[in-house]
Amino acid sequence: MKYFRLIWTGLWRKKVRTIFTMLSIIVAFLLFGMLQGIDTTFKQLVNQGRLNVLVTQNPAGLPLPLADLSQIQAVHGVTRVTYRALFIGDYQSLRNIMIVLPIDPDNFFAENPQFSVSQRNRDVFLHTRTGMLVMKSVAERLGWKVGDRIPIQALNARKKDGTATWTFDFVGTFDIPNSPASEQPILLMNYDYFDTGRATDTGTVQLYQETIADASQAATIGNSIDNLFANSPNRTHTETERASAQSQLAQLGDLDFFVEAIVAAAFATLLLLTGTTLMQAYRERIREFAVMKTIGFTDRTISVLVLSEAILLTLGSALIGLLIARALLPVIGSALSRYGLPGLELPGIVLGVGVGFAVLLALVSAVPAALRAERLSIVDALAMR
Amino acid sequence: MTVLKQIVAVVGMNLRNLPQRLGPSLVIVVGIAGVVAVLVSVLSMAVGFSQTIAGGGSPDRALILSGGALQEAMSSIPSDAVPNIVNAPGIGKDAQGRPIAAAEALAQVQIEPRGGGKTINIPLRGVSNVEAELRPELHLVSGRMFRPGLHELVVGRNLETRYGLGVGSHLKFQNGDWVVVGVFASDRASTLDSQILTDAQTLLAAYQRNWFQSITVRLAGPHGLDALKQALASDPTLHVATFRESDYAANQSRALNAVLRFIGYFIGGMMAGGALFGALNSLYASVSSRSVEIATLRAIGFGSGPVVLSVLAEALFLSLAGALIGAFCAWVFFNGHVSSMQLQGALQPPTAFAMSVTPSLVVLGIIWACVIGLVGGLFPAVRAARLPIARALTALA
Repeated sequence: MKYFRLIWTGLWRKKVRTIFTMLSIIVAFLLFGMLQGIDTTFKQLVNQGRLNVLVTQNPAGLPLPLADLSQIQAVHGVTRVTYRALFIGDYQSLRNIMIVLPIDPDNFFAENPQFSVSQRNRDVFLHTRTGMLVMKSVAERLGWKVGDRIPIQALNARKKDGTATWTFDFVGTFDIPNSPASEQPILLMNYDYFDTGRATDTGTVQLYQETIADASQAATIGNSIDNLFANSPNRTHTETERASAQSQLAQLGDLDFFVEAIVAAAFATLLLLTGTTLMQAYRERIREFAVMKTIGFTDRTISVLVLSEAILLTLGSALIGLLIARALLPVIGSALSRYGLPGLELPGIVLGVGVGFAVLLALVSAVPAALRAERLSIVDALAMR
Repeated sequence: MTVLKQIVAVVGMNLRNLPQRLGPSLVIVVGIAGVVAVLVSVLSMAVGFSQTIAGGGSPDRALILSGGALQEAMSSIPSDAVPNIVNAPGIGKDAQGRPIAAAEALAQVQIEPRGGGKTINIPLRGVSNVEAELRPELHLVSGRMFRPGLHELVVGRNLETRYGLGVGSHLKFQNGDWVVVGVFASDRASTLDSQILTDAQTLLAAYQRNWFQSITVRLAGPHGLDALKQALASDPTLHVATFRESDYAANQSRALNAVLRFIGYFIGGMMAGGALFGALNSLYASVSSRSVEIATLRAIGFGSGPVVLSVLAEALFLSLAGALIGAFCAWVFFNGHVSSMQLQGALQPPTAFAMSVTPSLVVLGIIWACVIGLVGGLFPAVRAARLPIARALTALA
C-alpha cells in the first residue's frame, strides 16, 4: 500500500483521458447492472416458485369448474388445496392497473405463507363479504385508508348488472416481504363476492394450488390429478409452482438472449477501449519507468504498479456504474409497477459478478502493457530506442 | 493556395495516415458499430412487431367484441346473438347474398417446442368456411384446408418454422387426437401466422362451449362501419363494441411498440455515451500524435480551418465505417430472425414476428453515428487548431 500515492498520481497523469475512460466504463457497467438486474429479478420470481406446491390449470387457457375441488382434495399425497380466480382491472385510469385475485379465504393464506398479513386483517377480510386486502406499497401510493370504498373497473370481468365496476371495502393491507412481487398491484377479494356477482363463468376458477407432503412425488401426484379429468371437457395440466412460473417467463419472449447480446456488445467495445488507452498511457511513460528501474524499482514492482493502476481505474469506475444502477433500478421499478410489473432491484450477486468482470477487464487489457513494462531495458528506454 | 485546396490536401493526408493509428481508430469504429448494431436491432424488433400486428388488420373489416372488452381474449358473445349481428346492415355480401362474416372462438393449445424447452401456449382459432372471402390474404402453402366436423387443423407458417409443426403432425388436446392437414401463410406478416385454425363449430363442440370470442365481418363500402355500428348500438338485446380491424390492431401493438422503442433508444443512448467518450479519447490521442505534423503544416502556411476539418473528417470517416459495420451486423444476424413476444401481459399468448431491418433504420443508425463522430471530433479539433506551433516543433528536439 506504500505505493498507493504513486499509483494514484499515475492514474491522473492525463486527467481528461482518465475521466473519459472512466465515463465509458461507468456507462458499460451501468448498462450491465440494469440489464442483469432486470433479468435476475424475473429469475428470482421464478425461483421463489415452490417445488412442494402444484398448480393445476386448464391447458386451453379457459377456467376450470369449482366442482373439481373435492376430487383434487381426495388425491393421495395432496395435503391442502386452495383455488383462485383472476381478473385485471384499473383504478380510475389504465395508469393504475390492478391484478385482482378472488381467493378462498379459508386456505389461501395457509397455502401461501409469503403473503404476510396480520391476524386482525385476515379476520376482518373473512367477515367482510365486499372486503379487499391490498398490497401495502400500492395502498400507500394511492393513499387508501381503512374504511374507504374503492371502485375497481374490471377489464375482463363483467357483472350481472351489466357494469364492470366492482366496489370494495378496503379492510387492510398485506405484504410479500423480500420479493420483487411486493411492488405489484395485487388485490385480494373474497371468491364468493366475485362468483355471485359475475355475469359469465360462474362456478369456475382460474387455477387450483395443491400443497403436497413429499416434493419428490410432484410428478406422480400431478399425473394422478390430471388423470382424474382426462375424459372431461375441462382437462387439466398440473405442474410445480416453479415450473409454472418458468413457462410464464418463457412466454414473455427472448429476454435472456437480448440481455446477453447487448452486454456482450458493450463489453467488447469497452475491452478494446481500455486496452488501447492503457497501452497509450504506457508508451507515454516509457522513460519514467526506465528512471524508476534505475533508482531501484524491480521489474516485478513496475509491472504490478501498471496492473494495479488498471485495476483501480476499472474497479472504481465499475463500482460507480453498478451503484448508479442499484439506485436507479428501484426508481424505474416503482414507476413501472403501476402497470403491474414486479419491483426491480440489483441483487448482490450481480454486484459481485460485475466486480469480477471489472477485475477481468483490467487484467486482460493491462497485461500487454504490464509485460512490456516488466521487460523494459533501461538503456534502450532512456535512449528512446 | 486556396483554402479548398488546403482542405483537400490535409484531409487526404490525414485519412491516408489512418492505418498508423490503427488501435485508437478501431476503438471508434467498434464502439460506434456496437451502438448502431444495438439500436438498429432493438428497433427492428419494434418495426417487425408492429408490421405483424398491423398485417392482421384490414381497414375493410370490422371486429365485434362484447361490450367493455379491450381484447379478443376478454370477450364473449353468446351463439344466439350471432344471427342478429351478422344480418345487420353495413356487412358485405357474397355472390349468393350471404353476409361475409364469421363468428370465431379462441382457445389455447400447449406445444412442446422441437428439441425440448418449455411448453408454450399457442392460440387455437375456430373459424368458419367463409375465410376465403373474409380473409383473401390467407393462402395454403402446403396440404389442404381442414374439414368441418373432423379433428383437423391448419397451422400458420411461423409455427412450422419455429416449432416444427407441419402437415401430418399430431396434437393431443381436449380428449382428441388432432391432425395438422395444412400450413397457411398471409400475404403480409400477420398475427394469424402464429396461430392454429380449425372449424369453429368443431372447436365449440370439443370444448363444450356455446359462445364465441368475436365476430369478424367484411364491411360493405366506405360507410359500412358507421351503418354497422349504428345498427348494433340500436339493438337493445346486444351489448357489443365494434372496431375497424386495422384500428384495433394498431391499438393492440401501441403499448409494446412504445416499450420496445424506449428500450432501443435508452440502451442505444447509453451505449452512444460510452462510445462518445471512447471517440473523444482516441481523437485526442490522434491529435497529440499528429502534433508535429500539424505544427509543421501551420508553420508552412496552412490555416487552422483545414486542420480542424481534417480532425472532423477523420471522426466522421471512422464513425461512418462503424455505422455501416453495425448496421450490416444487425442485418445479417437479425433481419428475418423470428422472435416472439407477448402482446399485452399474461392474458394473451405470444405472437411470433420476424425482426425487420429497414433502410430507414439503417439511415437512423448512420445519423446517430455521425452525431457521435462530430461531437467526439469537435473538442480534439479545437485543440489541434490551438496547438502552439513553436512548442510543438521544439518538443521534437
